[in-house]
Amino acid sequence: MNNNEIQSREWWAQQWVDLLETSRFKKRLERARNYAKQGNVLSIDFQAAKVLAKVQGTEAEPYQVSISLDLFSDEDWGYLIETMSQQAIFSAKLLAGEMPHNIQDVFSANGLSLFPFKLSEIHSRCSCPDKEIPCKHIGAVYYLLSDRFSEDPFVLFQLRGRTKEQILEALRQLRRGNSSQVEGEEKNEIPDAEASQVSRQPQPLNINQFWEYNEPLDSSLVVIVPAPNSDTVLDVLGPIPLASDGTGTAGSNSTPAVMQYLDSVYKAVSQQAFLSALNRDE
Amino acid sequence: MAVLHGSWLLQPQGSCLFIWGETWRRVSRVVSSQTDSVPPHPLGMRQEELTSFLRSRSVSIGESRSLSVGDSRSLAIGKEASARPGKESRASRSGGEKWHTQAKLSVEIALPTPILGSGEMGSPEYSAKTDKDSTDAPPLQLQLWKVEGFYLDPLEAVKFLQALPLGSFKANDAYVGGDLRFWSHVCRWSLDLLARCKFLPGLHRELDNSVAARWQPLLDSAVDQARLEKFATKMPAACRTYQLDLGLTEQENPKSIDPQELLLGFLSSTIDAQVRAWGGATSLPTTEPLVSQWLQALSTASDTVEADPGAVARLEAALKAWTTPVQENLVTLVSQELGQKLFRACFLLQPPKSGGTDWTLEYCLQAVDDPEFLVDAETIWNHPVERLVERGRTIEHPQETFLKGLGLALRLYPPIETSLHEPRPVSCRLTPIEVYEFIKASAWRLQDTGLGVVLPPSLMPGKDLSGRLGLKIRADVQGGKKDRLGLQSLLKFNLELAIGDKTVSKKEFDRLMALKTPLVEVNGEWIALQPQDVRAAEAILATRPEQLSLSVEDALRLSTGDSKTIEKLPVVSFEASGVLQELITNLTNNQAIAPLEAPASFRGQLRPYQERGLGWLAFLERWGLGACLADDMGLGKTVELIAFLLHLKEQEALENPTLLVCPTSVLGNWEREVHKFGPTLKTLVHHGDKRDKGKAFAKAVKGKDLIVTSYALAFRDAKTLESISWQGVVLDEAQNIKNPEAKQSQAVRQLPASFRIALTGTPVENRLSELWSILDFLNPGYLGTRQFFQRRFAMPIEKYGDRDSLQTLRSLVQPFILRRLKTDREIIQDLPEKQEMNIFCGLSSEQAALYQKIVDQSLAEIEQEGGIKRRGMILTLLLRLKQICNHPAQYLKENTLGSSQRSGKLRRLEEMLEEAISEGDRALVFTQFAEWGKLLQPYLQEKRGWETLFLYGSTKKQQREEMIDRFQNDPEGPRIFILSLKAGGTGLNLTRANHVFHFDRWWNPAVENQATDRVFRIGQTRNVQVHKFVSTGTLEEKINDIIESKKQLAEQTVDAGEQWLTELDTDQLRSLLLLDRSAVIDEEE
Repeated sequence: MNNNEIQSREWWAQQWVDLLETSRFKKRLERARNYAKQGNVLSIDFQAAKVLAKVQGTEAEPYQVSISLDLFSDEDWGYLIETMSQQAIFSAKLLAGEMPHNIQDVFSANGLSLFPFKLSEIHSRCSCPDKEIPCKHIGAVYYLLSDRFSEDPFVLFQLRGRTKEQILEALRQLRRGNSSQVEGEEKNEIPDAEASQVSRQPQPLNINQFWEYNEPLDSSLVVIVPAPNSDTVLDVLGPIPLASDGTGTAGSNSTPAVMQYLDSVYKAVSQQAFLSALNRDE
Repeated sequence: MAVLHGSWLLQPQGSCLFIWGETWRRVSRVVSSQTDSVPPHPLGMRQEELTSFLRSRSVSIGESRSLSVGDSRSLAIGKEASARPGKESRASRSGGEKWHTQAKLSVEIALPTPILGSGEMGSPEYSAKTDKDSTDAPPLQLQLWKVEGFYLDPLEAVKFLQALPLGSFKANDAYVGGDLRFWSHVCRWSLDLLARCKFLPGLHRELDNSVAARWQPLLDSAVDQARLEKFATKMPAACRTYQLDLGLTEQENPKSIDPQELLLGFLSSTIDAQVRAWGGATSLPTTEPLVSQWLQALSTASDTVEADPGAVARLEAALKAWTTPVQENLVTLVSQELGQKLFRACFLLQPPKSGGTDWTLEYCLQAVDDPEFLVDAETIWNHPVERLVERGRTIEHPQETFLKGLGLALRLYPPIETSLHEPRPVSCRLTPIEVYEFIKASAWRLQDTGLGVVLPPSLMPGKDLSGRLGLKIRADVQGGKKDRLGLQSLLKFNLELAIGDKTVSKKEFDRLMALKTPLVEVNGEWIALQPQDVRAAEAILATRPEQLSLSVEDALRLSTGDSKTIEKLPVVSFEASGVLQELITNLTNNQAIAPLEAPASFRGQLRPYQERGLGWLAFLERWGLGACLADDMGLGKTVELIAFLLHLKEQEALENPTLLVCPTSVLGNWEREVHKFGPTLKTLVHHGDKRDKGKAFAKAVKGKDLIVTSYALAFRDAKTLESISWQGVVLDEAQNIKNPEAKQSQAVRQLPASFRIALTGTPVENRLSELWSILDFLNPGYLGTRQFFQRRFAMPIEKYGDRDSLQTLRSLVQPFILRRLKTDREIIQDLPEKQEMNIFCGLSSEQAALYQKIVDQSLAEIEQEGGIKRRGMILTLLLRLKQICNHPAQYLKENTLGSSQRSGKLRRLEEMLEEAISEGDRALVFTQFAEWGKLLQPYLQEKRGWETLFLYGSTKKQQREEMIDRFQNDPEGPRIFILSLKAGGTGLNLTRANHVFHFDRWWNPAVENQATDRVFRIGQTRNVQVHKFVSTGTLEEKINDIIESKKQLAEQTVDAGEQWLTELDTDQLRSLLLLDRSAVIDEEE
């Protein structure tokens, strides 16, 4: 189970959990985890670079929790983008919806870290009367954040001041800037307004051959078989970045079970389709 | 009779397949275009008709439907009309609310409708109408018509479509309209997507913000993208005009449904329904509640996910992130970006530059609709623009498309990673081993995931042998020209290794092997050496030539394009020389065979195509190859065979007798034809209870040229017949051995012969296995075992309409089958417009006994009478005898005909009608007895399943007109029309028939000719065959002979009718009526 757990959790989520578990507030955070487990965190929203959460405390009105990290300056981001642009793999992976594994290298190359090293670098506030930071409301949200990071790792960028789209846009700008020296290339670009709108025109109805369909069955559809190797789109896409039960507890992540389930559904469907295609007369 | 139609309807309340039926019927009334409401389609089937039609074709449309129709409820979507897509179908599947309904279920469809001169609207065109291009047809315009039918939910639709025939290979599959056959092909595609796991689970947000779990088709592979394009192009217009809004001004260009939208809608619904049905059995895992609910909603009837919106939004985000790499190719219910993506990242494999060994995998962009249109990485990198115009094409977001493709490719093909650490990657290098692996495994995966791959042409996978190691063969026959050769004769041949069309010497081969690389360059072309080919080549090089053998049959297969491997290596080139070349040229193109003039001893004239047939038979005989002469009925297979036997006799090649096996019903016919056309052929009919057996038979056949016997006796007297060494065995009506298990089929196979011929007008009546059976008789083993044939040809062709297999089969059997149709242009020229033939039929023993009895009784009575009474008695006797010749049941006034074995004429009629129908012909059957028509019509309809019209004196005028109209105009109408000579002999116009049967005889050529002329009116375009039935051994034969002899004098002057018979004295009468017992055919089986 532990093995699965580790494999199914990407480093960015794991690192967050590690941060919590090595903190000196470990005891208190344990209690906060139970608090989260009981469903006291009502909502978590990412607004700009802030995490805003509502946590049900002892009072009727839920407490407002806000969490933020130090934003990187525009200059820092400039360097970061510059570094990313040195390797096409960063753009490629981000565009394909994947967090590059070595993204940390980009940050460390610029003397920065995507994650805080210490809990104290996280700015947290809670509207509860408890003066201690982190209070258990904040702690509960901390725990849930690791899930959010695995569901959508790009919120990490957001907490540092840039969305994925902004980064991609900046990368594009940079590429444009880099190659603007190339002479006379701009001519190939046409303004939006003049661009010929490419849209499919459905073919007109042929009233004189209204009923005709004289095609033989496509030869590739004569024999229907499963894909040559057993790989499916599930293998291409990898595990779904699903939330766990909301507490960050080891072993509670749904992903392995879901993937196993999907895998058996795919196998069953493929087999049935194959048989059905084979026995069409029976 | 009827044609099924239908299409997928996209509807907010649940998309479904709507099916309806069209039947030909007389439309008398012109519908006024002024009415407000949409008129019902005049040819549309009513629901009850549709139900019984579907039942007659054993097509099921789900239980709820077929049950509900009988009890006057029809079907419509009931109160769930506001439900979400697919919802009502699930509800019905889960056994909840079914289709409720009161109203009739009908749909409006716009159909091409002729606009008549007066501005009035005609009746819509019948979809199966054959003569579409008649020039004087009124212009067509789309008009709305109402049709009744059934809605099938996605699961039922798939089941229904799966049950339809996929091809139009068989004539009786023509009831499926092109529109429905189109959907049956798309349904096959849907199954293929399921088998290949091309779908993903997702969430769909409805307009009301509720959320549904859906399985979504994934059309990422190049194959599916091509199919989408192809199906969208080929979709018949008929699929697109349902519920069409015909605005008054839009008549010219109505807005029909976009084919792609319709296709994607179909795939979405069927794939979602099928995965639910098939995947639902898998037990759900225990997970987080929302995920559980989602999985639940994906596997059961109800697809709704009800949960806290925030949580659902998170799941949505996670799924979106998960599917990002394939987003553009995922078919969702809302946005359809599919087909909009015009470019994809592509990998172009380039061979090493001279001197190097490493290959280059270049990255580029490829136009989805034109794989040759590539934009290289350099160009892409140099244009960091939103929209790039390149050689007239616009590429949206070139760099992003390119980079995203690389990101996706990285998941599938890690070797590109290193290059991606550069800022502007353009390619990566691959070692030959990596290239081999790339070609064998990765290239396919990349293409299957929406990326392009371009390989050097010689390395493209596929059937093309140009890039494979193979064999080059040159061959000729052994020995001199005089030797008699057969399929199994061995050839002398020369064999070389080759790549493409270039020979590879042993030295060159060794050099290539020494390179120890899977990819080698030969004469500028790169090829991948398949380990199994290399092993096979090494084995062949190590074998001495004497140990290899090649037969004429192998040579023929190689030249007709079937088997392409020898000793496990593909044969890339095969060259025949000398006599073998001549053989192969002639076999693969039977036009090349020189026609042969009829031998001098042939009494008659061969038509030009018959001379070609004769030449062809003689050619195949010379090579000891079995021949199937499969000319249409009436083209004269009999005379061709007689001429052929005479030819052999003249060549002194007839050392032993030839055995001809035919149905009992044509024994007499054969005897007469041989007598007429080839009297020099010494013929013996082996038939009857006094026939010789064993040694006596051997003695009797000595010195004979031709022995004629029946299929039944071929089996019963098998021992006797096998003991003779036959020159040839000929099967007439060879479809009689279509069942290879039948005793008679087994028996004829056992007969030893130096040549074999099969005569048949219908080599394939119903199943391809019939063809196998005939070919296996002619050339044993040539088409493989029956099981092999079934798997290799019959299944793919019959079940799936596979054209490739059909093509291969055609070229394999083509050398051995000569088939000419009476509709062939050059044949028509050779044929007279009217061919009259006497058809001589035997008598059953029941008929013979009755006949004998009546003759004996009546003659005794007649002898004692005179005058008018005597005349009356003679006429009554003639009448009775004619009835007996028709069928004992007619004479005995029975209610039904019982077995056809009771009448020789009926047996022959059935055989001939069967042949005519399978050739797509139509026939008139004339009789002078209305009571015979009353017996024959139900017999043909019920026993044989042939719809048959019958017109006689008491047919009412309106029925009469309707029958004629159906026969003349209904494309699927009845093919047989029985007419009483009196009622139908004059005034009618029945030009659609091209066969006329005179089942019993008036003995008045003028009357018969007048009847025959029903088909010769204006409008007849084909040659007509007139078959006059004559019972041999009876008065019919004798009168026929008398009339035939007088006919030459003056056809019209022959004394009309039968009056002259009454003037004969008793002795003359006796000799006329005397039964010749040799004409009696025994009851067999």
